[in-house]
Amino acid sequence: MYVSVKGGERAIAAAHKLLAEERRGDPEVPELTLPQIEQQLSLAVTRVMSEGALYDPELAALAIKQARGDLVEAIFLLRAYRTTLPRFATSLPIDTGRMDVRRRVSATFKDIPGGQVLGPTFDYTHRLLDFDLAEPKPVAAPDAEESEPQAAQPMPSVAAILGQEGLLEPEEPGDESAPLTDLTREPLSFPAGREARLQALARGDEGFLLSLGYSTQRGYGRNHPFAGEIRMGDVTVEIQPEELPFPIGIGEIEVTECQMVNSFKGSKTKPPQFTRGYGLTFGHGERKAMSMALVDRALRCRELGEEPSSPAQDEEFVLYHCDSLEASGFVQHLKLPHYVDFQSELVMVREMRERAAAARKAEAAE
Amino acid sequence: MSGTETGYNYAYLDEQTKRMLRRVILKAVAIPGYQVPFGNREMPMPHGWGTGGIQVTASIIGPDDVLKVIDQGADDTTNAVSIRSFFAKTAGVATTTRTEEATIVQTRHRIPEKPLKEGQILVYQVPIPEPLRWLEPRETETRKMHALSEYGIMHVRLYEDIATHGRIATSYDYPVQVNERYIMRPSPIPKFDNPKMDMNPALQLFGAGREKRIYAVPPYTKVKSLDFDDHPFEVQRWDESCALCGATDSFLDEIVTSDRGDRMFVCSDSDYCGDRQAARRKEAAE
Amino acid sequence: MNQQTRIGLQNLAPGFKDPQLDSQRVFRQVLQAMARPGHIVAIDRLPEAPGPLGGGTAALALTLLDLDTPVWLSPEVRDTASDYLSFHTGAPLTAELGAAAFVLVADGNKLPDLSQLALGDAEYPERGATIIVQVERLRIAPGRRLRGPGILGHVDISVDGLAEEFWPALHANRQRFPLGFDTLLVAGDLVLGLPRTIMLDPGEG
Repeated sequence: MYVSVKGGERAIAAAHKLLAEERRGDPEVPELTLPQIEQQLSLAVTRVMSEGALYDPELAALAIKQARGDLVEAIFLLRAYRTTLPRFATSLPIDTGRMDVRRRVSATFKDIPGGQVLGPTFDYTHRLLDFDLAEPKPVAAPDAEESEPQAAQPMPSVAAILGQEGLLEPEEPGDESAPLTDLTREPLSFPAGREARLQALARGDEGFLLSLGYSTQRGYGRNHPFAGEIRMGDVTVEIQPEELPFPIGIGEIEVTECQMVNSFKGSKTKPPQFTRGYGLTFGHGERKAMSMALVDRALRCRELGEEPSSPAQDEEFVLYHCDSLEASGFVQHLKLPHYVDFQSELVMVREMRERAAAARKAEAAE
Repeated sequence: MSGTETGYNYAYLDEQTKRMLRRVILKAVAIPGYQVPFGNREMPMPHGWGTGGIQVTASIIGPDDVLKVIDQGADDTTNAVSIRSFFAKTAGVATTTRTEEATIVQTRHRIPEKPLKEGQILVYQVPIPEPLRWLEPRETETRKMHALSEYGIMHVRLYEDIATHGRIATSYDYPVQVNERYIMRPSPIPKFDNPKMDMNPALQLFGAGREKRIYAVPPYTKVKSLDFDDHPFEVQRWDESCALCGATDSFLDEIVTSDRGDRMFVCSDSDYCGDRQAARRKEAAE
Repeated sequence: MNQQTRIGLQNLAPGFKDPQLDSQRVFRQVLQAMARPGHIVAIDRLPEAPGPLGGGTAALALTLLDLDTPVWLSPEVRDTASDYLSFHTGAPLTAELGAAAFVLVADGNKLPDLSQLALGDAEYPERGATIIVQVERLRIAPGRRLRGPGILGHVDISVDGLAEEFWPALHANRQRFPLGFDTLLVAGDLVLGLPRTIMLDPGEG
């Protein structure tokens, strides 16, 4: 009984063909391979993995290729895929203290145990187009010393160093037996727990969080941030099988973590302490991790006794609008037909205009 | 895996997700007009394209169903075609354009002109489920208002319309009260369709994916469009009739036929219009 | 889930023949029952079920329960069918009636204290429990007169094997709307839905 509606189906099929052609571009130019994307557009790959909430560089590369480099579209592809995957286990919390660090900077202390590691960063590049890159060319190998992971030396987190003196609010693990919100399975409810907020921010759109974080720096919910520490490198993911007495590692992932140290709080009974904001992304994502930490701190305002007054402190505003799938979908759905609603409005506005004209006429006649 | 060619689960969603949605739907039916929160899943089409309605349909549909999908009242609208083929592929169901043959009708923005029957299910795609949202953007506040049946701001809003425009200036997504309790958004159907919701023999399910809410109107349930004694609820009327089938009782789309502003009016419900045209041809032939 | 491996699998009755399609079909039948209270719906995918658990009840349980739904079992079910339900649904058992999302009662003459059921709260009324109660017989016949959404006018139902205290509890349930519990009465393969919107005509029965 399958009834096809030919016009629409043909149009869709034709659109898909056009899209495939556009994606490929000039067939004379060699087609991109997934390893090329994974290796040479690695920051795009890690953004797609972070906001796509799936650590799989190859699939992220595929999504980027399929989406023609539109990262928001690629994030959508990855999310729609991940939601169909079965869950085998829940990992233990990753321990970033045991990270194989490739980059680590602190803006709060000149030197710290383990040292500052500049690592691969754009920070001190001059933003001059490098015309040499226009043609393939071998790259000079980095100095051996620079490229070695620094894990050999212990690298306590700056937060831990401040914590020893009681200068930073302690981050107590919550009740570990209490069920954690899982945003991929439950809707948000308010007030949202911090774990739900951090999940939403981790999946949130980088551009949106960047602007919100920026707004806190300009006085819309100011919280005096210092970049306590930003570290990037590989961490081990572990699970604890029920039948084993010890956890087992199931792989390594690259992450970027930002510990923001913020304005201090104190009261008559408690000496002043700095407060915290936290950000974490897959891969190398400093801009996102820092923005996330700023917004996390802003959203903690109620808990820290600050009066929420700015967009970044408004959890409904931030959490309901940070997801690029939701935002992009709803903005773009305006492209879909709205003939019926528009017709309804037309009928009503015409009637109202007629009525107004009749009223004017009647008035003039009197 | 039950007989579909996609490599995904039957009707796309995994069984645990379907069970969650099914429990939510049962509660929605038990509390008519109340928006039940649910754990939305990313679907392979964007939010705004009907992900809520699609999740509802995916959780109820089975191989014995016959599915009709309409957008703007028509079966041949691009997105309706796309959703129909999604379910034909992932759930292996028969599809139809005929309202009376369908067991499930998924719709965006219209209720079919032909009356629905007992046993049929109408699934609405809903963009914004909260009727109080334009008046109060905060979920925490609107949830309280529903809890306390505090609907004063809605009546004030409608009355302000009357003060400004001499009438309630809402022509679609016109708010209703379900079973004398919850105020509900009927999704952006024209208010022309609102009376069809009242005491309808079919089950009406509403899915809002991005907003993560499902709600329902059971069969034979009172659905009242909000109004005032001195400004009773009215539906749209046209002076014209359908240029294709001559109907004067259906919702008409306006089609601009020239750059001089010539227009024609045709039924928005393509199935209803098609049947009437066929009947006319038959009559003419006899 | 390891708990499941400890259950003696060889002694368990099998669940649905086709878990995907059978549970879809049963769900539609339950949906019909809830949407049209007063219509007695026949469940036509009946898994084998142990002991006091009837086929209809087992079908509902396998369709609706999982890891996310704490379930309270009446003593007869607890004694004989909890392994079966754990294995097929993974639903956590709870001894606290008020913590249960679903309540399974094998014998309608022996109801638990219905005043202890979760009723949800004003902001989240959907958190009220669903109770599945086995009774001896369900008929459309003079007995109790029901009104409410899903019913055109009224419908008369007659239930055998259900404690008399159920009816005042159902009446009280309606007074608290939108809070409340929702009921599915099951007799063999027949199901009658009584959502919290149901109103009982006074003086009937």
